[in-house]
Amino acid sequence: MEMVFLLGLVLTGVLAGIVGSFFGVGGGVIVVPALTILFGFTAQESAAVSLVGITASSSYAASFFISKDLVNLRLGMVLMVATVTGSVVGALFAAQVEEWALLALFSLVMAYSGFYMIRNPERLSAHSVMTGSGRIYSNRTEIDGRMMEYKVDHTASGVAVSGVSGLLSSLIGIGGGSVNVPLMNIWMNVPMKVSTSTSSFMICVTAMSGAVIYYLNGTLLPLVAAAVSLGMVVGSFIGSHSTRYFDGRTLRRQFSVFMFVIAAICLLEAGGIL
Amino acid sequence: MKDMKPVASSIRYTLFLGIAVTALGLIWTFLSGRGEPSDILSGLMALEPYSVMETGLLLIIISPMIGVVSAAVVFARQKDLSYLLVSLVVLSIVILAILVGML
Repeated sequence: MEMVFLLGLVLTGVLAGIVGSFFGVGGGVIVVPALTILFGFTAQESAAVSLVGITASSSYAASFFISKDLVNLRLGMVLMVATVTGSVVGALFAAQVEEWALLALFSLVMAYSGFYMIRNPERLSAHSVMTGSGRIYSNRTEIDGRMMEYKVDHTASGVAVSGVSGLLSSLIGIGGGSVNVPLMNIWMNVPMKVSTSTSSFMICVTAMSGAVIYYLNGTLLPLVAAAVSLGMVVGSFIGSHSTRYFDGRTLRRQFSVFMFVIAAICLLEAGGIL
Repeated sequence: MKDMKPVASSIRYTLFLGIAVTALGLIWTFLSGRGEPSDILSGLMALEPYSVMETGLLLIIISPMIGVVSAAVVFARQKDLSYLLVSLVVLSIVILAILVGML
């Protein structure tokens, strides 16, 4: 493999890692479009490589959050039954799906994530209305020095939506955080910090399940995956240590514009225009 | 629930090992210019650089699974049988998928 090619892949990974850890998204946002548009890989191949990178970076983040006791492992486990199932199904059938459909789907998710990033909704009070459905877990967790108690709500529908999140994850090579986090925080009444932390654990397990299937059926290109994921590891390190130097809100707004641009480009690619 | 620390460390150790082996394998593959051997196991036995890289990737990929296993162990220790069961279900889905994928 050409040195330039390899270096390009590593740099793509570094950029994805920086962007991902900075904005709390997975690296899929950068990796998938770069690999399909710039490097000419298929949508499925790009998704596979992206999933390995996501596994690496989110695993590290997850381990960090778990040791800080911010992850609701029980809730995560229950939701992961659905996400992993969805992810495995997606990876097994991805080859059967037309590339343009995958790219269009990716474009849709990018647009949605862009909107979500601008609006940045958050359920601040974790103690609000209980509908009484699926109150399986209550949890106490220490956030910023305060003990917070919350009860998880809407477990059944949460599981259902998580299944979709998992399916999307392996089909288009994203982590699924943009579905998981609002699902847990807004719908299931979980505090934001616990939602993002638990999501990172869910993401790494979900991503790996898709990645392993892609590896077994040959969709995953090891050399490409190695280059990109190593880059992503370096990038996440840089990104997570740089957040203090920048104004989060302006950057998020700028980044969501970027995501709309990516969405448009991928849509054009899906239509065969690019 | 500070007894979840083993979950965090198990993920971390596996991941770091995987990253190190992948990096080693990638650099070695690039330097030696050797192509892709047909089988990872025989390639690993023969210390083919590509297989080393591939092994590293697999280590990265399984690190979250090691975390799930760890969590299952913790749930077992806490006598929390329902969540032990849930963890085992997650594990089984992945293992089943691997078996299907190997067909």
